[in-house]
Amino acid sequence: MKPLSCIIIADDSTTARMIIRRCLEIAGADTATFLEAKDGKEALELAKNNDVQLLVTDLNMPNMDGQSLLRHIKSSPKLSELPVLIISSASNDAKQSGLLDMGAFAILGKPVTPANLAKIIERL
Amino acid sequence: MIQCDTTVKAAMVNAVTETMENMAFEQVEEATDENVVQSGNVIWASLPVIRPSAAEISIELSNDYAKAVTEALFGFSENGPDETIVNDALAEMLNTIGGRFMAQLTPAQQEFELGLPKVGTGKTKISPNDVAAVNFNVGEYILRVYIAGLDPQKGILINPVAQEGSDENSGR
Repeated sequence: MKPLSCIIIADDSTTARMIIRRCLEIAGADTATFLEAKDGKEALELAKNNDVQLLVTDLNMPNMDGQSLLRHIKSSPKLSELPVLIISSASNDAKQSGLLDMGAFAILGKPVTPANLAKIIERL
Repeated sequence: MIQCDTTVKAAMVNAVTETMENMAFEQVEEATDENVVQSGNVIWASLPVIRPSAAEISIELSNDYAKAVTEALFGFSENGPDETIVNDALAEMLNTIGGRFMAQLTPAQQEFELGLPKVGTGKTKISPNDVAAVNFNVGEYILRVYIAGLDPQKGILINPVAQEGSDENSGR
């Protein structure tokens, strides 16, 4: 596993961002710097302006949703290699298949746990 | 009150149990008394289901329990959790419950879509004739879940129910 020095967490819920951060820390990313965004627009700006190793995003957010954020990231020459992990309550097999085709690194349903996050970040 | 069919009820019991255990570290049990009454001030959250059919999932619980859950998540503070944080925690809890519920009822090859949750205080204006309810015991508290837009014979979600007449906000 590569060391994760900077991770963006995009979710419109303060609670969700806090839970994801705690789970990532327990899963092994305890030395990372976490940058938080309330929507896709904020996350995209953070990704453009920081050296980020992982972007974790919700799907259902105001202003710019997670799917649009993923599309922007994957179409940007500078950011297209950035792994995007989607954590969403609105996730099933059909949705996951479409998001993986768009270039998502992985998709997890809520509630997220440290154990299933650890399996994901081991693959980075 | 509409009676849930067994598939819908099992999906909701699983969704609530999994969410509360993983997110709030709470053991919940389905309440055997369907007519149990919430005591004290009540707070609710409501989540629209947009696809594959229009519906609404709501939860109702006491303010005291909402604060207790929030403190379990964020840690204790001298003055108790801020109202904004309580609303956010409640909205996220319902969002997760709604997602787990719909994931079980939607065929794997079909996508579902949820709206953004709203949170409000005071009694909801849900008509008991239009919804199914599932009650849960969480320690000394009651967590009540309403499912609107449900045809209990077919298990089809058909119509949303608006939350009217009480103070509400986006919860986020």
